[in-house]
Formats: sequence, C-alpha cells, structure tokens
Amino acid sequence: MTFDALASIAAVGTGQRSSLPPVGALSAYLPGPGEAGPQAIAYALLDAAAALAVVARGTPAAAPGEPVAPAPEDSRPEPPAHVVSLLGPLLSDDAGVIRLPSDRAYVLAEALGLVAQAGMRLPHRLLGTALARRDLRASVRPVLGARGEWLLTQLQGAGLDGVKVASADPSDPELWDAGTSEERLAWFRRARSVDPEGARAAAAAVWKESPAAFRTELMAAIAATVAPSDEGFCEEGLEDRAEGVRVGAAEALSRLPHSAYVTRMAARSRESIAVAELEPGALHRLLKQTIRTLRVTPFEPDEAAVRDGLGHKLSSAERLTRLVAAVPPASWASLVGASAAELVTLHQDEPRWELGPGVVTASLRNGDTTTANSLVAAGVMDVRLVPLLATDAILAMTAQVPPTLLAAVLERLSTPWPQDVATAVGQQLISSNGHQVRPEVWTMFARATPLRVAGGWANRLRSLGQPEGRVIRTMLRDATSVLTVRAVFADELRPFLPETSWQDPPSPGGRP
Amino acid sequence: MGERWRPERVTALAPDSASDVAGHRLAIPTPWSDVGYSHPLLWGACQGSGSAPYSVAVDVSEPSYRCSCPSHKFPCKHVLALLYLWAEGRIDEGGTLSRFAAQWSATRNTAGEEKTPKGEPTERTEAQLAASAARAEQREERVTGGLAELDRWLADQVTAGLAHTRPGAMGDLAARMVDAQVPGVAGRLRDLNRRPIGSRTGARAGGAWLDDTLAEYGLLHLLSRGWTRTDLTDDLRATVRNHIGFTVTKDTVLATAPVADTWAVIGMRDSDEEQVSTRRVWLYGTTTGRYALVLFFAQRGMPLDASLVPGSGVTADLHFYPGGPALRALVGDTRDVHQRVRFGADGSSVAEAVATWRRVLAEDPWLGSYPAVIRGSARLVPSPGIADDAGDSVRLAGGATLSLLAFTGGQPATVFGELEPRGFLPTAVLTDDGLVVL
Repeated sequence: MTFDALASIAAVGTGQRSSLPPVGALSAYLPGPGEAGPQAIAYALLDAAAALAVVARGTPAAAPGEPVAPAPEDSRPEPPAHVVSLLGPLLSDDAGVIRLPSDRAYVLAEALGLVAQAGMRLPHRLLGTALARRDLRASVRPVLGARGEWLLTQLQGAGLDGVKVASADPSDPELWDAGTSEERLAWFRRARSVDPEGARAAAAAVWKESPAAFRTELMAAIAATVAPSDEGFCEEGLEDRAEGVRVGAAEALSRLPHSAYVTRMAARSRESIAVAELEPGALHRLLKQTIRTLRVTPFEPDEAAVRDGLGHKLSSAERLTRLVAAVPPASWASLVGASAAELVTLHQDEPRWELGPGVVTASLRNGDTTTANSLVAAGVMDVRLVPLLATDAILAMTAQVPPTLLAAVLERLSTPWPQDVATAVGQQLISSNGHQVRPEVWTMFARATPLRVAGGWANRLRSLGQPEGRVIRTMLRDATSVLTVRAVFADELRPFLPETSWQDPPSPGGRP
Repeated sequence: MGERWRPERVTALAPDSASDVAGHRLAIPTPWSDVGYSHPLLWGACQGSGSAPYSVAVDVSEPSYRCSCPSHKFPCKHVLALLYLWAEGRIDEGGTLSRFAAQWSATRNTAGEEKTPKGEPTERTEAQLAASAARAEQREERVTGGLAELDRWLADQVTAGLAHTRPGAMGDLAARMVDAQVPGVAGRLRDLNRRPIGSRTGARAGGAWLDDTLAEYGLLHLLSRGWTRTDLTDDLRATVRNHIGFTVTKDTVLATAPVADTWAVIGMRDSDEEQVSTRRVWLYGTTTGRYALVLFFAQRGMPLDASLVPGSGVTADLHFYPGGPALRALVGDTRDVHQRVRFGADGSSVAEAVATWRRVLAEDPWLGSYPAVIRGSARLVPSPGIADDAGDSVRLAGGATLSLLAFTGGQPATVFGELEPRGFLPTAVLTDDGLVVL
C-alpha cells in the first residue's frame, strides 16, 4: 500500500474498519484482521504513516531532463560597486533606501537607463532579483547582458516567467471583428498609427450599427491623429446623431488648418471680432500712438453654424470660445489685423468678452509655441500651455501662478526639467519651507531635477534641518533621499556616459 | 592594523534590512566629516537632519559602537554607514581621534576593568540542587502527560477521519502542549496549522494538505512513542528530547570534546516566531568536512548575533549538542576570524548527498533538512534542478534558485545548500575566491 492509499483511509477515518490493508513489509508489525480494536488500528495507521513518511522524506524530488547549454560569456562590464550596492535594494523594492514605492520605481528606471547608456550590465548576482520582477522587465531588459538573456530564456522555457496569459495582441485583426469594445478600440488606435486610411475605412464600415459611446471613442481616436484625408469623414461626423461624435468631429476638423470647417469658422470670426482704432487724444497724438480696441459682436447661429457645433444650447460666451478655438492662432493677423495674443490684451468696451480660453485651445490644437509663449508674456497663466512653453515662459508661470497651482504647472513638464526651472522650484520650496505648495511638488522636484545638480540640491535640502509640520518633514526627507540616490548614480556613472547625457534636453518651447 | 571588514559583515550587523539600506544610502562622503581610523577605533561625524552632526564611534574588534543620534535601532544607520565607508576602503588609517570617540573608548575601558570575570562557575547549595532536581522531575511528568494526550488526540483524529478535522483544533492542541512544557511539539503543530488546505475542487482536493498532515501526525506519534520507550540509545534519546523541546545548558555543551577546524560560514537564514527571532547559521569544516548548525536567538526586533557572516570563516573549537546526527553546535574557543575563507571542496554527487540525507534521517527522522555540497550544473528547463556528471538530479527549491542560475550560468559548480524532502535549497557557491553566498 502506498502513502496515498494510507492517506485516503486516514481521510475517511479508521473508525469503521476492522483492520488495515497490507502495508508491504510493515504488515508484520501491524495488527491483522480482527486482532485489535479501533484505537489499535488508529495507532497502527499512525505507525505506518510515520514509517512511510520517513521513507518519502528520504527521497527528495528529482528534476529529470537533458542538460542545457550554459550561458555565453558577457562582454559588457558591471557598474561600479557603489552603484551595485544601491541597485540591489532598489531591485528588491526595499523601502530602506527610498520610502515611496513610486519614487523607488522612478529612480530605479532612471538608474537602469544610465547603466544601459554607460554600456554596462547588471552583475550576475542581481539578475535573479531583477528577473523575478516582471514590472521592471522593460527597464531591465537593456542591462541583462548575455547571462541575463540566457536566464530569461530559461525562465520562459520552464514556464516560470510570471503569468502566461498575455493580454490580447492589439494588432490581431480578429479583435476588430470579435473583440470586446475595449479590445476593438485598442486595435483601432494601433491601426490608426500604422494605417490611418485603412482604420478609418474599418470604422466607416461599422459606423451605422455601432452604439454612440463606441462611435464617440472612434472619433476621439481619429481627432488625435487627424490628417487631411479624414476631412470628409469628419464633416459627416458633424451631422452624427450623437453629440459626442459631433464634438469630436469639430475638434478633429479644427486641427486641419486648411479644412473647409476652419475656413467657415474663420469667416464667422471675421464677422464677430474686429479691431478698431479710436480717435487719439492729445497725449497719444504727441506720442504718435494709436489706440486700438477690440470689438466683439456675439452672433446668433444660423443653420450652418448649428451644424458646425455653435448651436443654440451654448451661451454667447461659450459659442465665442468654440469659434476662437477653431481658428488657427496664426490667422488672426490676416483676419482682424491683431495677433492671437492681442485678442486677449486689447482694450474692449464693456461687456468684456473673455477670448483667452479659446486662443489657448487653438494654440494647443495647432501646436503653436509662438502664440503660447506670447500668451504667457501677456499674463495668460493657463497651465494647459505648459507643454508648448520655452524655459523663460515656464519660469514666468511658476513665479506667477498661486503656490497651490504650482503642481499643476510642473506635472505638465517633461523630465528632467531645465536646470533653471529646477532652481526656481527648489528656491521656492526652500524659501517657504514648502508650506504653501502642494506636497507632490517635493516629489516632482526630487525626480525631475537634472542629475548633474541633484547632489547639490540634496545637500541644500539636508541643511534645512527639521522644519515645522509633519507632512513637510516627511516630504523633505523623501525628496532628500531621492536626490541623494540619484546623485550617487549620476556621480558614479558619469565617467562612462557620453557627454550629451549631461546636457539639458531642449525645453518643449524650443529653447535650450 | 586589524583586518578591514568586508561589506557583507556590515550587512550582517544591521538590525533589519531597512537600517541596512539606510546605512548604504548614507555611505557616501558628502554628509561625513572628521572621519578617522586607528585600530580598533573608527570614528566620524555625520550631518543629519539636526543642526549638529551626529558623532559616531565604533570598536571594530568586538564590534561595539556608539552614536549620538536618538535612533532606537542598534546599531543605527550612521554606525552602519561609517562601517560601510571603512569596509569599502574609503576611510584609511589616520585622522584625529574625535573627542566623542576618545571619551567613549575611555568609558568602555573603565567599565571593562570593573567587570567580574566571566566563566566562573557559580556554586550552588544543596537546597538549590534539590529544588532543581524536583523541577526537572515535575517537568518530565508534565511532558509525559502532554505527550499521552497528544497521542490520544492523534488516534482520535485518525479514527474519526482527517476530513473532519475541526478548524483551529491543531492550534488549541498546540496551546495545551505549551502548558505541558512540550514546546517542540507545539511548534510543529503551529506550523501544520498554518498550512493551507488548498483547492476544494478536483480529484485530489486538499491532497497535499492531507499528505502533509498525515505524515506529520505519524512523526508526532513516533516522537510520543520515543518518549515512552526505555530501550533507546543515548543519542536517540537525546534526539527525542531535543525535538520535544528540552534544552541543554551551554555549560553541558561546552564540556563536550571540541572539534577544531577552520569553519566556513556557508549559509544563514533568519526567521521570526512570535516574539523570538532565530538566526540559523550553517558551518562547514574546511579540514574535517563536517557540518554544523549554530543558532542565535534574540527578542524580536533586537539585533541577532552577527559574529558569523556568510562567506567568512572562523578558526575555532565547536562543541556539538548531544543527539544524532551531531549537527547543532556552540562556538567555543575562537582563535582567528577570516573575512574570506578559501578552501577546496569537491562536492558530492547527487546520489552521495541523498545517501547521506537518508543516513541522518535514520538517526533523526524528525530532521527538517541537512547540509549538502553538490557538484553539478543548475538549470531551469525542463524543471528547476541541479544535475551531476552522472546525470542524477535533484529538484532545486527555495528563493535562491534564480540567483544560483544567474551566478553559475549553467556551468558546473560546487554548490552548498540544504537537502530536504522538497529538494535542494542552495545557499552558497564555492569559487576560486572563496564562498559566494546566494
């Protein structure tokens, strides 16, 4: 009898049995049929279980199989020892180095990127930890080296590389026909990036039978990647029965500067907005200055305007905003003789109409960095403009927005920040001890400060001591940790990195 | 000048991993000033969050340490950071001894002179001896009663059927075993109680739980029987008493014949059980080829003894506890400490390692694992294992499997570890430079 058979008897209980079946060589030591009462049978089973358990324990599990080829030699070097000593706990997600998991993930990804840029690889002893974390796979892959790639192949071959059920491949054409709404949208977005015309044709083929929510999502995906060849499809979208589709179509068309839609909106703008020169006073005559004023005339929508999304449901102000948002900022000079920024600053008689939000939207839709920077110079502190701004404009905005809005500005900046921006934010944090800004500014500052000045800022933050307020102290400590660790990585790896790695990336506004 | 530590020794000194990595983080020159080293003293000042820097002093010969920071961790991150800087060769001999370190050192020397010499046997009166004997007899009676209850309970479970086991029943029995002063049995029952029953569907629903439970019930029954038997050898009787939870005094162990060797530390594992932290350190005699297990205990949260660092070695006498196989030991007279110990070990085949495991199981059927050194190639495909030249293999288990694969890259290597029913748990690899702990 095997241990399994014994376990089956034990599971049911020996209470109803008069004896145990033969247990091989043990039978001689166990009571036979009718020889003992229930308790003796139970003890006999326990005796047999002990004997068989010891036998089983003495036979460790084997691992049959053919030998595999060993890993090839690594040609890339390991990082310096101090880098390795910090990478270890970060790869283990140990909270000792850096408290916040998101900070750890950020710093680790940056460090692995530096190691890759330095042409180095992870030391062999860290590969196990690194590969055990599937969430790091993208950052870890470039620094695996030959040994790591070999180990990954082994893991995958043994079916031990995490969950095998992969998410659906968005390029699988079956998804469009048979997938869930989410999978179909994933397929469509991917298809738009590869074959926009084909994707649009696929959308058109199912358009009529698709629900409004799905059509709205499709139109939003088209608006994000719109091209002149989409104009006809979008024009039809202006008449769709779903409002979401109509709004999406209007937005898509407004991103096409030469579309008929933009031409229609520009014509309406010319009728509603005009710049006039006032009769100058004595002083102005003396200074040879003219007085310009903006005359805004809200309009009542006709049928064509309703089709273009300027319907009666909108207030006059909303209609003006949509109108201005649909006109490329660069066209205003030819339309009304004033720049887009001047639309915001020129004098208006009461009631004054707010055109700023529309101009900002138009700048974003057209990627118009010139107008965006002019708007900030004119005092329009709309955080949506941040991705289009040059460093000077960003600095102006960080200095002028209320402290509570600083985070909203900074979260729109790509990292690392330009050094001037980091300096300004750091000084703001130090001068107020961070009491006026939202706590996440500390986190953003610690992560986005350029590597070459991270160590200096870590020291400056450390010198602040213990400011009042538990939250501030915590944020200060966290930021100091992040900056310190980033600085160590930077200092240790710098000799191996190309000089370009240390230059500020060009700011989004186009100025270094 | 004393031998400079290896960073691994600093790591072993850390009270927890958080302190260790915090120490690593501070192990950069920026926050440090006035550092210096004059064997055995190491000192420095670390700028923390306060206005005045923290003063740190370490006596690396013991080690003992002092820091002016308010941390309740011992040693704190500042001590660890200073040691890391020194261990990594960033602090050289020299520097002006800080006032803090000088005062601390002087205080310690004064205190040391006033200490009563250790190791003097304490005289005990006859009354004390009689009371002690009475307590021992009383305990044996309690153990007898407790194990009899255990055996009845096991029989009742098997009679009624394990499928009817009441949830928590093992926990209740474990508590009664504690009252009966049978802590070894209580611990095994608690371990068993923690095992998941597993899936309730399928042909072998709860199969692993059933097998494990019956096997453990059988071994507990065997232990109970061993306690009542009078015909056991001294070694087997000692083994039974060890597993029941009888302790042997340090003096008794140190009175046994010493085994002198240079012992390599081949593995270390920490665990927490309720309020006690346990450190299990495996040693390998580089000349005798013997294995030893040294246990350290501490109140949970307090630092465990860090004198035996994986990868290092110690030339010392070991005294083995009674019982077979002789494995658990105390470190006696220590003559030298080696930061890194180089030695040769051929490693056994899988078959030889399994044969040894079976032999020790015959001596101690309750043993959980036994050290082994296997020469073989590790692989993951088609299943995780280590195979020797003869093609025999044993399954690799435990958290260090990936590290072993990463370190060896599938090349043949001499691997230290523990053999147990699940397979082989690797702990270290022997290289030309010594042991590398996984």
